[in-house]
Amino acid sequence: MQKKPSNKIEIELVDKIISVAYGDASIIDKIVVIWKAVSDENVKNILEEYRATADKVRKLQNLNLPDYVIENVSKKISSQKTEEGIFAKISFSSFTIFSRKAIPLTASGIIVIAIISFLIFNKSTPTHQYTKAEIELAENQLKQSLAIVGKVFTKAEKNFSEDILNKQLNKKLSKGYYLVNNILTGG
Amino acid sequence: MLSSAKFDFLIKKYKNKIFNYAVYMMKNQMDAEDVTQEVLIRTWQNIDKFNFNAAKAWMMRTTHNLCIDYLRRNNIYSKRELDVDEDYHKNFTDRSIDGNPHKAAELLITEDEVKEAINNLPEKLKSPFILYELQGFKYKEISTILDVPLNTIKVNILRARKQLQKDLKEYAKETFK
Repeated sequence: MQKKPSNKIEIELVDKIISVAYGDASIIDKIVVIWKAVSDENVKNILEEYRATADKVRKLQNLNLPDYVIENVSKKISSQKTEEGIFAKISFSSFTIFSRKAIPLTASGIIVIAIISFLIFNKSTPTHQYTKAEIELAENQLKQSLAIVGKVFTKAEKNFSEDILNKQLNKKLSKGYYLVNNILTGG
Repeated sequence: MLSSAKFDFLIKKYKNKIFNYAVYMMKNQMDAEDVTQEVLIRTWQNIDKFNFNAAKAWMMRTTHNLCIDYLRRNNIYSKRELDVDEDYHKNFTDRSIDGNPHKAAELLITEDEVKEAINNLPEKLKSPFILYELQGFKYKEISTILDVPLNTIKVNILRARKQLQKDLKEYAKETFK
């Protein structure tokens, strides 16, 4: 069995040390390097030196672009750049908000949840299916009710024509005619 | 109408990233300003052509290409060889000052020297290093910007870190002489 050259192992370890120093190593690599650094002075020194450099790199100040560069750019493109209204600004703001990856996902999630909730909680009232027997019974009851109402109307009509018109009203009319006749004949 | 608002938004967000990248690449502020101005004008000219979500990568790629073109045109494109010394860490402690390398690096190296050391990195290593360490781009984004495979980006960043360490060590040694 061939033995792995020791230099190769050392290079791999150094790569891991560098990643740990710059803070982008995996947790396993971190554990391995820190464990080695405790027991090996050389590993510890390499780690400390790379850490110091990484800190220096992180602390480097970024420069700000001078304003006159933007002014120059604005002058050069001003002929093409038209003044825009409030509508364009608002629509662009919404565009920038919704162009971010998380927001459309969240929005679609909310819409899907809303649709599902609507379907679950807003079930339509069930339509009752009547049996043939129930329908027949209802028809009979309706016929009976109509028959009773018909009888009442017939009786009322009979009373009106016989009692009111023939007897009571005739009497009053005859009496009236008699009185008028008496007045006219001078009796 | 929308283009103008889109352009203003992009300028506000990325102008300093473009400028700082150009400063490191061009090694002087005047040229970096010219490059930044050109990038912004090109962004305006192409504002309706590229996808808004890809604007960042597009702008940085344009910056990178303009810097390389400018350096090549003026024949100042670094011809420095990729001479990363993989055995540099052997005898590491022997080369440290007072046997304490951490103190040596921390106390003796100034911000300007770190910037100079970054500036002196070979272009292949410098671009991914700046984009990753100073601009905060992810490996995948850098791969898109520089049009280089992802693994090459990872390797080049590692090599840049090693080269930077070696160069800073030299500065420290020079200071102690």
